[in-house]
Amino acid sequence: MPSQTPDQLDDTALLAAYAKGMPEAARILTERLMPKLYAQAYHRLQNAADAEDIAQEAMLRLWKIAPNWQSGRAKISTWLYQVVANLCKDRGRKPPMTALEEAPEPIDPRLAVDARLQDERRASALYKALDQLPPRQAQALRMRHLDELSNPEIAAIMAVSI
Amino acid sequence: MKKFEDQNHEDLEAFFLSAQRALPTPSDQLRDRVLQNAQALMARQGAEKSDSNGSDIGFLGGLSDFWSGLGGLKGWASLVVIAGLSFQFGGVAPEVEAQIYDMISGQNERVFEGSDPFEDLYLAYLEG
Repeated sequence: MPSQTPDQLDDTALLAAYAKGMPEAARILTERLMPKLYAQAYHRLQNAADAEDIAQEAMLRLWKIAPNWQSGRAKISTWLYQVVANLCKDRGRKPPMTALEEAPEPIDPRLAVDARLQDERRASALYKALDQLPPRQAQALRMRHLDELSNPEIAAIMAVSI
Repeated sequence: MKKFEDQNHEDLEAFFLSAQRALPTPSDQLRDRVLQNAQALMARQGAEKSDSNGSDIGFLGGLSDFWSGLGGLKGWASLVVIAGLSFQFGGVAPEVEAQIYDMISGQNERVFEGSDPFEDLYLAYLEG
Protein backbone atom coordinates (compact mmCIF):
# COMPACT_ATOMS: atom_id res chain seq x y z
CA MET A 1 0.00 0.00 0.00
CA PRO A 2 1.55 3.36 -0.93
CA SER A 3 2.18 5.61 2.04
CA GLN A 4 0.60 9.05 2.21
CA THR A 5 2.68 12.13 1.57
CA PRO A 6 2.43 14.84 4.26
CA ASP A 7 0.26 16.96 1.94
CA GLN A 8 -2.34 14.21 1.88
CA LEU A 9 -2.65 13.95 5.65
CA ASP A 10 -5.68 15.47 7.32
CA ASP A 11 -5.34 18.38 9.74
CA THR A 12 -5.44 16.21 12.86
CA ALA A 13 -2.67 13.94 11.60
CA LEU A 14 -0.59 16.94 10.61
CA LEU A 15 -1.04 18.55 14.01
CA ALA A 16 0.06 15.32 15.68
CA ALA A 17 3.09 15.24 13.40
CA TYR A 18 3.90 18.82 14.35
CA ALA A 19 3.60 17.96 18.04
CA LYS A 20 6.12 15.18 17.46
CA GLY A 21 8.57 17.67 15.99
CA MET A 22 7.93 17.65 12.25
CA PRO A 23 8.39 21.22 10.93
CA GLU A 24 6.98 20.28 7.51
CA ALA A 25 3.63 19.63 9.16
CA ALA A 26 3.56 23.21 10.46
CA ARG A 27 4.24 24.52 6.97
CA ILE A 28 1.42 22.52 5.40
CA LEU A 29 -1.04 23.44 8.15
CA THR A 30 -0.10 27.11 7.81
CA GLU A 31 -0.66 27.11 4.07
CA ARG A 32 -3.90 25.20 4.42
CA LEU A 33 -5.51 27.00 7.33
CA MET A 34 -4.01 30.46 7.70
CA PRO A 35 -5.55 32.08 4.57
CA LYS A 36 -9.02 31.00 5.72
CA LEU A 37 -8.46 32.44 9.19
CA TYR A 38 -7.21 35.66 7.67
CA ALA A 39 -10.23 35.89 5.37
CA GLN A 40 -12.61 35.19 8.23
CA ALA A 41 -11.04 37.93 10.35
CA TYR A 42 -10.92 40.38 7.46
CA HIS A 43 -14.60 39.90 6.60
CA ARG A 44 -15.45 40.82 10.17
CA LEU A 45 -12.99 43.61 10.86
CA GLN A 46 -12.34 45.01 7.37
CA ASN A 47 -8.81 45.82 8.40
CA ALA A 48 -5.85 43.95 6.93
CA ALA A 49 -3.46 44.60 9.84
CA ASP A 50 -5.99 43.46 12.44
CA ALA A 51 -6.86 40.41 10.35
CA GLU A 52 -3.18 39.44 10.17
CA ASP A 53 -2.76 39.86 13.93
CA ILE A 54 -5.76 37.66 14.58
CA ALA A 55 -4.73 34.97 12.09
CA GLN A 56 -1.28 34.89 13.68
CA GLU A 57 -2.71 34.66 17.20
CA ALA A 58 -5.11 31.87 16.21
CA MET A 59 -2.29 29.84 14.65
CA LEU A 60 -0.16 30.43 17.74
CA ARG A 61 -2.94 28.97 19.87
CA LEU A 62 -3.05 25.98 17.57
CA TRP A 63 0.69 25.36 18.01
CA LYS A 64 0.30 25.67 21.76
CA ILE A 65 -2.53 23.18 21.99
CA ALA A 66 -0.90 20.70 19.57
CA PRO A 67 0.67 18.36 22.19
CA ASN A 68 -2.67 18.09 24.01
CA TRP A 69 -5.01 17.95 21.02
CA GLN A 70 -7.46 15.07 21.29
CA SER A 71 -8.46 13.62 17.95
CA GLY A 72 -12.00 12.92 19.16
CA ARG A 73 -12.84 16.55 19.76
CA ALA A 74 -14.05 19.14 17.22
CA LYS A 75 -12.42 19.46 13.83
CA ILE A 76 -9.37 21.67 13.90
CA SER A 77 -10.86 24.04 11.33
CA THR A 78 -14.05 24.39 13.40
CA TRP A 79 -12.07 25.00 16.58
CA LEU A 80 -9.95 27.63 14.82
CA TYR A 81 -13.06 29.25 13.41
CA GLN A 82 -14.35 29.75 16.93
CA VAL A 83 -10.99 31.06 18.11
CA VAL A 84 -11.00 33.67 15.34
CA ALA A 85 -14.63 34.58 16.05
CA ASN A 86 -13.75 35.17 19.71
CA LEU A 87 -10.66 37.18 18.87
CA CYS A 88 -12.66 39.34 16.44
CA LYS A 89 -15.28 39.89 19.08
CA ASP A 90 -12.62 40.91 21.60
CA ARG A 91 -10.99 43.31 19.20
CA GLY A 92 -14.29 44.85 18.21
CA ARG A 93 -15.25 46.26 14.92
CA LYS A 94 -13.20 49.16 13.68
CA PRO A 95 -14.22 51.60 10.97
CA PRO A 96 -13.51 50.20 7.51
CA MET A 97 -11.53 53.27 6.52
CA THR A 98 -7.82 52.63 6.85
CA ALA A 99 -4.75 54.78 6.45
CA LEU A 100 -3.32 54.86 2.95
CA GLU A 101 -0.22 52.93 3.92
CA GLU A 102 -2.39 50.21 5.47
CA ALA A 103 -4.53 49.87 2.38
CA PRO A 104 -4.51 46.24 1.27
CA GLU A 105 -2.97 45.12 -1.96
CA PRO A 106 -5.49 43.88 -4.51
CA ILE A 107 -5.71 40.15 -5.08
CA ASP A 108 -5.03 40.52 -8.74
CA PRO A 109 -2.99 43.59 -9.70
CA ARG A 110 -4.25 43.28 -13.27
CA LEU A 111 -7.80 43.82 -12.15
CA ALA A 112 -9.01 47.09 -13.54
CA VAL A 113 -9.07 49.89 -11.03
CA ASP A 114 -12.70 50.69 -11.55
CA ALA A 115 -13.71 47.06 -11.16
CA ARG A 116 -11.71 46.85 -7.94
CA LEU A 117 -13.29 50.03 -6.63
CA GLN A 118 -16.70 48.64 -7.45
CA ASP A 119 -15.91 45.44 -5.57
CA GLU A 120 -14.73 47.41 -2.56
CA ARG A 121 -17.86 49.55 -2.56
CA ARG A 122 -20.08 46.50 -2.86
CA ALA A 123 -18.17 44.71 -0.13
CA SER A 124 -18.53 47.72 2.13
CA ALA A 125 -22.28 47.90 1.46
CA LEU A 126 -22.59 44.18 2.12
CA TYR A 127 -20.77 44.43 5.46
CA LYS A 128 -23.07 47.26 6.52
CA ALA A 129 -26.14 45.30 5.51
CA LEU A 130 -24.94 42.24 7.42
CA ASP A 131 -24.42 44.38 10.50
CA GLN A 132 -28.09 45.26 10.46
CA LEU A 133 -29.24 41.65 10.57
CA PRO A 134 -29.81 39.75 13.82
CA PRO A 135 -26.40 38.44 14.91
CA ARG A 136 -27.04 34.73 14.33
CA GLN A 137 -28.53 35.35 10.92
CA ALA A 138 -25.57 37.48 9.92
CA GLN A 139 -23.23 34.86 11.31
CA ALA A 140 -24.85 32.11 9.23
CA LEU A 141 -24.67 34.19 6.05
CA ARG A 142 -21.04 35.07 6.63
CA MET A 143 -20.14 31.45 7.24
CA ARG A 144 -21.96 30.24 4.16
CA HIS A 145 -21.12 32.91 1.61
CA LEU A 146 -17.93 34.57 2.83
CA ASP A 147 -16.12 31.84 4.74
CA GLU A 148 -17.51 29.19 2.38
CA LEU A 149 -18.06 26.66 5.13
CA SER A 150 -20.05 23.53 4.46
CA ASN A 151 -23.50 23.12 6.01
CA PRO A 152 -22.31 20.49 8.53
CA GLU A 153 -19.53 22.83 9.63
CA ILE A 154 -21.98 25.68 10.01
CA ALA A 155 -24.31 23.46 12.00
CA ALA A 156 -21.47 22.39 14.27
CA ILE A 157 -20.42 25.96 14.90
CA MET A 158 -23.92 27.32 15.37
CA ALA A 159 -24.75 24.59 17.86
CA VAL A 160 -22.06 25.79 20.24
CA SER A 161 -21.86 29.14 21.86
CA ILE A 162 -19.12 31.33 20.48
CA MET B 1 -38.55 37.17 -17.01
CA LYS B 2 -36.81 36.43 -13.74
CA LYS B 3 -38.71 36.31 -10.53
CA PHE B 4 -38.05 39.10 -8.06
CA GLU B 5 -36.61 36.62 -5.53
CA ASP B 6 -34.26 35.11 -8.09
CA GLN B 7 -33.07 38.53 -9.11
CA ASN B 8 -32.45 39.44 -5.47
CA HIS B 9 -30.59 36.21 -4.93
CA GLU B 10 -28.34 36.89 -7.91
CA ASP B 11 -27.68 40.41 -6.69
CA LEU B 12 -26.80 39.12 -3.28
CA GLU B 13 -24.47 36.54 -4.79
CA ALA B 14 -22.79 39.32 -6.77
CA PHE B 15 -22.25 41.28 -3.57
CA PHE B 16 -20.71 38.30 -1.80
CA LEU B 17 -18.54 37.66 -4.84
CA SER B 18 -17.35 41.26 -4.74
CA ALA B 19 -16.49 40.88 -1.07
CA GLN B 20 -14.46 37.78 -1.91
CA ARG B 21 -12.65 39.58 -4.70
CA ALA B 22 -11.96 42.60 -2.52
CA LEU B 23 -10.30 40.41 0.08
CA PRO B 24 -6.63 41.40 0.32
CA THR B 25 -3.95 38.73 0.17
CA PRO B 26 -2.25 38.01 3.50
CA SER B 27 1.36 39.14 3.47
CA ASP B 28 4.35 36.83 3.20
CA GLN B 29 5.53 38.29 6.49
CA LEU B 30 2.44 36.88 8.20
CA ARG B 31 3.27 33.42 6.90
CA ASP B 32 6.87 33.82 8.09
CA ARG B 33 5.75 34.97 11.54
CA VAL B 34 3.34 32.04 11.90
CA LEU B 35 6.07 29.56 10.94
CA GLN B 36 8.58 31.22 13.26
CA ASN B 37 6.10 30.86 16.12
CA ALA B 38 5.59 27.21 15.22
CA GLN B 39 9.32 26.52 15.25
CA ALA B 40 9.92 28.42 18.48
CA LEU B 41 7.13 26.55 20.25
CA MET B 42 8.29 23.24 18.84
CA ALA B 43 11.77 23.87 20.22
CA ARG B 44 10.41 24.92 23.60
CA GLN B 45 8.05 21.98 23.88
CA GLY B 46 10.87 19.64 22.84
CA ALA B 47 13.12 21.10 25.52
CA GLU B 48 10.41 20.78 28.17
CA LYS B 49 9.81 17.17 27.15
CA SER B 50 13.49 16.27 27.47
CA ASP B 51 13.61 18.03 30.87
CA SER B 52 10.65 16.05 32.15
CA ASN B 53 12.19 12.80 30.86
CA GLY B 54 15.30 13.56 32.89
CA SER B 55 13.35 13.67 36.14
CA ASP B 56 11.05 10.72 35.62
CA ILE B 57 11.91 9.26 38.99
CA GLY B 58 10.89 12.46 40.73
CA PHE B 59 12.46 13.45 44.02
CA LEU B 60 15.01 10.62 44.02
CA GLY B 61 16.06 11.57 40.52
CA GLY B 62 16.52 15.16 41.60
CA LEU B 63 18.48 14.07 44.66
CA SER B 64 20.64 11.85 42.52
CA ASP B 65 21.32 14.75 40.12
CA PHE B 66 22.13 17.01 43.06
CA TRP B 67 24.45 14.38 44.53
CA SER B 68 26.28 13.85 41.25
CA GLY B 69 26.47 17.61 40.76
CA LEU B 70 28.35 17.87 44.02
CA GLY B 71 30.82 15.25 42.89
CA GLY B 72 29.45 12.27 44.80
CA LEU B 73 30.97 11.09 48.07
CA LYS B 74 34.30 12.77 47.39
CA GLY B 75 32.61 16.10 46.82
CA TRP B 76 30.52 15.80 49.97
CA ALA B 77 33.60 14.96 52.04
CA SER B 78 35.41 18.03 50.72
CA LEU B 79 32.38 20.18 51.46
CA VAL B 80 32.22 18.97 55.09
CA VAL B 81 35.94 19.60 55.61
CA ILE B 82 35.71 23.10 54.12
CA ALA B 83 32.69 23.90 56.29
CA GLY B 84 34.50 22.73 59.44
CA LEU B 85 37.61 24.74 58.66
CA SER B 86 35.58 27.82 57.92
CA PHE B 87 33.92 27.59 61.32
CA GLN B 88 37.26 27.08 63.04
CA PHE B 89 39.11 29.93 61.36
CA GLY B 90 36.72 32.68 60.74
CA GLY B 91 33.27 31.46 60.03
CA VAL B 92 31.99 32.77 63.36
CA ALA B 93 28.84 34.64 64.22
CA PRO B 94 28.89 38.45 63.86
CA GLU B 95 28.32 39.07 67.60
CA VAL B 96 31.42 37.04 68.46
CA GLU B 97 33.36 39.00 65.87
CA ALA B 98 32.20 42.20 67.58
CA GLN B 99 33.35 40.91 70.94
CA ILE B 100 36.74 40.08 69.50
CA TYR B 101 36.98 43.55 68.04
CA ASP B 102 36.05 45.10 71.39
CA MET B 103 38.61 43.02 73.19
CA ILE B 104 41.30 43.98 70.75
CA SER B 105 40.49 47.65 71.03
CA GLY B 106 40.40 47.33 74.87
CA GLN B 107 36.96 48.79 75.30
CA ASN B 108 35.30 45.95 77.18
CA GLU B 109 38.11 44.47 79.09
CA ARG B 110 36.16 44.60 82.38
CA VAL B 111 33.19 42.87 81.00
CA PHE B 112 35.20 39.89 79.94
CA GLU B 113 37.62 40.05 82.80
CA GLY B 114 37.98 36.66 84.40
CA SER B 115 35.60 35.02 82.12
CA ASP B 116 36.96 35.85 78.72
CA PRO B 117 36.81 32.80 76.50
CA PHE B 118 39.04 34.58 74.01
CA GLU B 119 41.67 35.64 76.49
CA ASP B 120 44.35 33.53 74.88
CA LEU B 121 43.56 34.96 71.51
CA TYR B 122 43.73 38.52 72.90
CA LEU B 123 47.08 37.91 74.54
CA ALA B 124 48.45 36.28 71.48
CA TYR B 125 47.42 39.35 69.50
CA LEU B 126 49.10 41.73 71.97
CA GLU B 127 52.21 39.69 71.87
CA GLY B 128 52.29 39.98 68.15
